[in-house]
Amino acid sequence: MQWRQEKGVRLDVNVERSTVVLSKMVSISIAFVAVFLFGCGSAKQNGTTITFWAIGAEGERVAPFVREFESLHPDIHVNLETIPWGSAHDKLLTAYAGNATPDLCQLGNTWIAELQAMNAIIALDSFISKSCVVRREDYFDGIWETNVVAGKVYGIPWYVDTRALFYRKDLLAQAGMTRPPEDWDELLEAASLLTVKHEKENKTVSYGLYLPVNPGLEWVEVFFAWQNGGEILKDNDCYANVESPEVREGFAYYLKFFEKGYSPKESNMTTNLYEAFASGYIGMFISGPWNVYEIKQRFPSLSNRWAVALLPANKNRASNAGGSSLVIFRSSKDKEAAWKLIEFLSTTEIQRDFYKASFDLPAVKEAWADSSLLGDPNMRAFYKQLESAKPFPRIPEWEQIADKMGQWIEAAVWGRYTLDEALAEMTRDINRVLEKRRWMLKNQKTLQ
Amino acid sequence: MGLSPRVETQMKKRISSSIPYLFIAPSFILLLLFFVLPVLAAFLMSFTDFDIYALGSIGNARFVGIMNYTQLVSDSLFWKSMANTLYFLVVGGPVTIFVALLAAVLLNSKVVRLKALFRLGFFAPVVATVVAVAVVWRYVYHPRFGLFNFVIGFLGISSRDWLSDPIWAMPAIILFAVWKNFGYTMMIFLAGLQAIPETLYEAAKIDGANHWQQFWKITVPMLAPTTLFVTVITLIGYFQVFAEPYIMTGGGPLNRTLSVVLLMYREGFRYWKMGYAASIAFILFAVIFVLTMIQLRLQKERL
Repeated sequence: MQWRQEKGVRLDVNVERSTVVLSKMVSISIAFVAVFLFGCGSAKQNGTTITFWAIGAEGERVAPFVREFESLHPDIHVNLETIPWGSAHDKLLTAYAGNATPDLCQLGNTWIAELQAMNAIIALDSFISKSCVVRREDYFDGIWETNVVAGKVYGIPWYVDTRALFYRKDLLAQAGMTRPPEDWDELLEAASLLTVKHEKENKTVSYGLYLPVNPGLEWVEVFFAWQNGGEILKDNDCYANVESPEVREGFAYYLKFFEKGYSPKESNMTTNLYEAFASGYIGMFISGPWNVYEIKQRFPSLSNRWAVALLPANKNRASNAGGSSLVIFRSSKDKEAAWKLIEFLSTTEIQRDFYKASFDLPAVKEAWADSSLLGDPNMRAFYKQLESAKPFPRIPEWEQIADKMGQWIEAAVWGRYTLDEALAEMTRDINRVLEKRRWMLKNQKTLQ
Repeated sequence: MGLSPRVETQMKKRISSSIPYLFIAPSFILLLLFFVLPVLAAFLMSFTDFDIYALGSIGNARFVGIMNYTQLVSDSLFWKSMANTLYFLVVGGPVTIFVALLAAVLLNSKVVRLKALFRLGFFAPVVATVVAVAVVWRYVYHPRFGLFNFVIGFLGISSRDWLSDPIWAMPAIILFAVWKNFGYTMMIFLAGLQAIPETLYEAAKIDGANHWQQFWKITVPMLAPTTLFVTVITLIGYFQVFAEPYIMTGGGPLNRTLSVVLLMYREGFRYWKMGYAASIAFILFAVIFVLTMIQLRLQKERL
């Protein structure tokens, strides 16, 4: 009896709750309809609207420039959206699959080949030939090349980056080296000088050079292979070339730092590079220009005790040609307006001002003339490094290949595989990844 | 001229018997559209090499038969991820259930005070977003500044870089997962404990049973259905472990924490090899299905 009553009460509560839910749903749907009606009304002014996706911090920093562009072109309304770096790649692919791509987008320049293979972005050659703002000769060679797939230009460099050597001047001087290492032998020597072992406990107090255990998408092992004159892929980027003597030697040089104990076997995800560098736990590391700003911000007291140098040379000083480009999507309804925004962002003045707002290095060489750039020795090092920057193979599979290489390098770092075993596995994996590309080329499928 | 009464009742019957279908139709259609069809599509996709090129033009997709599956079987990374997932499951599952049962029994006993506070404390990690707490735990495990090394330092254990160590990364993740998940299991156990009639214990006491005997002879058998439910839920949940390694280690070091779902995510959403990723998903589905069936069968025999 009691139980029945209880059940009755419960039912009432449920009824009451469901009516509340219902009324809520009704009011929410009314709100939706209202937003839909009025929202559309305000967005559609006379003129055209283009959507611009920017990634990460650039999204916020470009906002004032976009507003400036709008005031110069009252007929163009720019809908600026920011997407985080971490999910940018996934979001772009899903947007393409779901037919929801923007008009123009900032793109990490290693992704261009991928979006080009999906037929998502258009070649910009016809725009460039008519333009008096965007000129090939104003850009770094390696950087421009990253945007070229099968002879056509798909992106305009927006800002650039590359990797150079960060080192502790004071520690190196204490150890007896008054200038940064110039070549491979000197880099090893500097690393050995900066590595300090605790005498009793067999523990390392400080390491000479930080290298990622799994270089994956930091590509440092690729730089070493390039510097030794090697190429990762061969035969029109259809087969692995990692077992060639040049690449092998480059990778062996990478592993040497771990074998000798000059580099810590620490996960990339736990090491706080800044803190480690500031405390002297690591004496050198290889990274990009954003860290010049970061270290200055975090450790102002460290100034003059560290500097940036070119990567030590072997046969050359190759580093990656990184950065972001601006691309126009095939689905864009107003490609002319999108191109106008690209041109605006590529003018020397805007490039220079954007550097001041974001500390992203300008893609247009002329914009470097500013004293805050070439007047700063650290930035000058990056400028010189950019002149020997080299593009990665422009194929959609590149990140996957870099990931596989990173995994096998890691196995070799931990001594689970010898270098030759790891290289054999690497070759097998890379060739498997490239199977589709070979099939596409053989069947003359459009790679454009 | 009306219809004959016989026909009329027949029609009425037919209409009234079809009314229930009308009621379930909306949810059925939704299920069909958003569950059954996508699953079928994914199943078909697992026999193609649908990838980034196919996204550009569907003509670039090839029907490859069971090649994805054969390739998967010969992929050392897949077996490694399978082994890692089983490791996580076989160690993490029982530990979670054991800790949850312990906590539930303690919380259910009459001697413990501040029950509400403890219940809240144990359950809070379940409510917290896994990504947020995983980020925090990454700092807890930090080799030089982490709380964990600090605490075990008192026990005389030397500090190490837990998440970068190929041997210790997985145990570290399991510890985190147990802490994160046992609260939920504990709540279910608690409900199960409260459903055991007090009279049983009273009768046992009169017969002279001690606490230990009461626990083994009354609590454990009475909790059997709850334990079965909890085991199945934990099994299914832990087999799909993803966020913990994704946030804390990225699958490393040496792929020692790469789970099957993380591998699927990598292949599918990072490299867009949808065909290959779909085949991983179906193998995972088959394995979970079979394991759950075995478990149900075993429990049925025992009961």
